[in-house]
Amino acid sequence: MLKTVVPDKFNYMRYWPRPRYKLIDWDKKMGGKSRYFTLYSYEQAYSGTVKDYFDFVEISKKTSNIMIIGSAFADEVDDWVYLAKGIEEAGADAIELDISSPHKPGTLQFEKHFVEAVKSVVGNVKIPVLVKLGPGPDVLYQAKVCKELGASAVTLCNRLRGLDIDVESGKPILHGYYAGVGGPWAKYYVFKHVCEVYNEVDITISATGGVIDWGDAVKYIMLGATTVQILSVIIVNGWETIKHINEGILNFLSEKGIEKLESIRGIAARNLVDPELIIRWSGEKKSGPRNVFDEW
Amino acid sequence: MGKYIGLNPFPPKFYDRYPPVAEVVEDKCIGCGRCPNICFFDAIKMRDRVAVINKDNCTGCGLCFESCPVDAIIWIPDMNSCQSPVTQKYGMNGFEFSD
Repeated sequence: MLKTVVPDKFNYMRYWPRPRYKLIDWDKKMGGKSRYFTLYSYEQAYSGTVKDYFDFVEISKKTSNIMIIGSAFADEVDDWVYLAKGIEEAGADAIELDISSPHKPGTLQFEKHFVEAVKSVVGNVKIPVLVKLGPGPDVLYQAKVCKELGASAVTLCNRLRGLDIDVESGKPILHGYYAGVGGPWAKYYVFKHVCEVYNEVDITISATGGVIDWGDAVKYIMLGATTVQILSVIIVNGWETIKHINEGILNFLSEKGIEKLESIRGIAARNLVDPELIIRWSGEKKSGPRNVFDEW
Repeated sequence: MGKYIGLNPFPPKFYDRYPPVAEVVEDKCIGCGRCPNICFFDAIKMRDRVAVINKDNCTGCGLCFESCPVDAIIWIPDMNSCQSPVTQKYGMNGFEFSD
């Protein structure tokens, strides 16, 4: 999955502020071993021109034997189609529409262009189209719309926009604007979204968010994800993380005697209990103060 | 608060003139090897138990500052950078502001 490219209109998105990253609640003593931290970043788009990006896709494809997925974001149909076609011609195996980036230009509401963007891209390229959704309350609805519009897959979920401030100066930290927040804690709501979409929509799911070890990757697969994307953990723990996660999954499979991932895919989502079947008990006091012994 | 030089809460003072890059204060560096691990632009290597930063690769992303347990990394202005986004945007003469 490559960095998101933007059309020339959003040229300023290609210039990154420095620094881009801040690690909140980061335990320096543990040096990446901590399971709870926040990657707070003011990230921008791919820093070159659209032409550079197409070359980037082409070179990536030539120099590696893995799948290369291009990522794009725009706000008009023409731009979407231009970027998508260029990425396809450059040889990418799939394209992701990053409609929910936490770093998108502040005033633009990409959700309004959601439908026409997906429709135009799906109609103009032959490679699979992934739509990256943000972790909002309407993920399920958006996934259904993506399915209807013919998208091949959804990516669940993007990071959220967040904000942290410095109490001494009373100003927002980093560059004084909203930033993207993510981290290992972010996985729990993505688990839920993946489970929900897997159960209700017949669409391929690429899960991302908060994976820190092989266990999280297996959880995503058990919830129905076809692929799992990682980034934050690579940033903090290095590229070897990929090897560790792959080895961990293989160990898990061999220990359990599972031959292929297909047999555990979605198993947890299918085990979801209907809330009406959850055993409940009566006996709670219906109203009034609790444990006030004078009233007894 | 405020102990991360230049990072907290705001970027360094020369920020509007020069692109900032990271630099190691060799006397402070304890050679723990965390910054070369966290840098994903291959800009930091360990040499004689001291971290050395290749300014050409440094994008000023700020991760090494965050990872350094002894605050041995500081911001310095990258006056020679031709590749920096700021230089590309404003040109090499764009830095000459008057005070």
